[in-house]
Amino acid sequence: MNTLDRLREMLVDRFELDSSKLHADTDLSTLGLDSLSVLEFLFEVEDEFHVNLPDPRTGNDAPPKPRTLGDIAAELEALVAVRDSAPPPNPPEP
Amino acid sequence: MRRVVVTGIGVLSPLGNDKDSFFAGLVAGRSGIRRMPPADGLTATLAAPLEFDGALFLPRRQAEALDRTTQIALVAARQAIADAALVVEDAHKHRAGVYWGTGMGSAHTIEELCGATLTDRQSRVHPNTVVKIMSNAAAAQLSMDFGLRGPSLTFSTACSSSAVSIGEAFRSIRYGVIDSALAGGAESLLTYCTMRSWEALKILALEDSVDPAASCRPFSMDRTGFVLGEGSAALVLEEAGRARERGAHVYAEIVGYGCTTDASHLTKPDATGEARAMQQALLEAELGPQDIGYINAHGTATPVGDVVETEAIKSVFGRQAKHVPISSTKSMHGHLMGATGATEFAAALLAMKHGVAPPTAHLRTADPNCDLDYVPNHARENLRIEAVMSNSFAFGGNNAVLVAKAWKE
Repeated sequence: MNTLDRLREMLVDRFELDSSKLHADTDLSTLGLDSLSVLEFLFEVEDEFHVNLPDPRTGNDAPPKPRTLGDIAAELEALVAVRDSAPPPNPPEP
Repeated sequence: MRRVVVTGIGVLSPLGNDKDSFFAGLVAGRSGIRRMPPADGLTATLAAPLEFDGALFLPRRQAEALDRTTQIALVAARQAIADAALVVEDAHKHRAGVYWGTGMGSAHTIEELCGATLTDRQSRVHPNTVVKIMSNAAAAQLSMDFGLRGPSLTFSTACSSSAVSIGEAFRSIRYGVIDSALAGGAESLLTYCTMRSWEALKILALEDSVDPAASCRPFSMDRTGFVLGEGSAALVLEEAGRARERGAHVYAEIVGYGCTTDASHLTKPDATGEARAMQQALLEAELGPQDIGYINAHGTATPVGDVVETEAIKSVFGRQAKHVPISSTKSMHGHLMGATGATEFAAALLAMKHGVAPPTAHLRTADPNCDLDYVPNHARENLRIEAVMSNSFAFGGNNAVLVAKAWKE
């Protein structure tokens, strides 16, 4: 299953949304979810993919741009790729 | 003056997760106190835990989103609302409030947060942590669950929190601020760190070598302190006219509430402050000492506390003091902290309803400084109880006393 499909599945599971309305260009803020629910969802997403999503507000003076499901999927894939390419931690000194 | 009645009771206690098993346990003199699994560095061995798994009572996601204290608040409140068969119509929701007590609040989540951040150095904290921990988490959840749009208030006065919450709800109905209320309290603090901090006060009961369940012995010469417990109790309070109109079953009428503060010491109880709270409650109730048929004592089984309460009762009740059945049910359900006032008031209401005074369990040896009728070891049945008093005295010096009487039109 690709990242986007997994995100859609998680949204349906958590919020009982109609999956046919969830596309790559769907903006998270248009789903009728309150901000706390979005944060809770993203926390679960981080658990699922074993990565930490950066706070979209950091490094930006302007308010964050809308985040689509496709944006989040791309972000996750990039983070997973970085994580997987990192060298394994040094073995402990004997 | 408007009259205020109790029409619903919900109880989650170490003696059972409903009001009937709770009261049956009290009458049987059964103890919910037991030895807990040992933990490194913890010398306290006893607790009175609930048999409660939030996941069995609440949908999974809701259970996960709520601290255990809020979970048990919600379940007890649902019991009380169901018991009262209360349906608050939309037009009336702004006249219904939540008055809730808790001493510490969300102990489990606080401890998990500290473990995750300080010990495990986890990089992330769950975004619902603040709203799970906040002291008014339970009151907010109750308001939302039942759609009650009047005041949603949290009272935190340590061991008297939920006596205060009931007293303040009573006043708000009496003086016309609201018409009905969900009032009570919840506490769930049997966590490692909290137990460590309580044992540092040297106030917890030492384990009885023969029978750990008999370790809390209020008013007994060999008492050594109390046992921490967890629980939740909720009452539905209504303006009497509205309750009558809808044909509600009435447990009792709340008639008096006294609330004072010692303003002298954080932990040392003060007979004068306790007595003034009892006097205030009787004065408001327009009752005299001879009218009170049962007192549920604060009775924490500390060497000093039980003597001071005895003195305070004597100073208020005079010659009548020796004739009132008094018991400390903490001998069985432990000290439920922020839930204890509401739980014990519920016990007093059920005592009046059934005409049975629950005992002070494990009262082995009379203490000459505690020389009143503490209903030792066995419940007293076939009593005609017309009015009851429930005492709650707290760290911080707050004293709260509730008086109720049998309902008469």
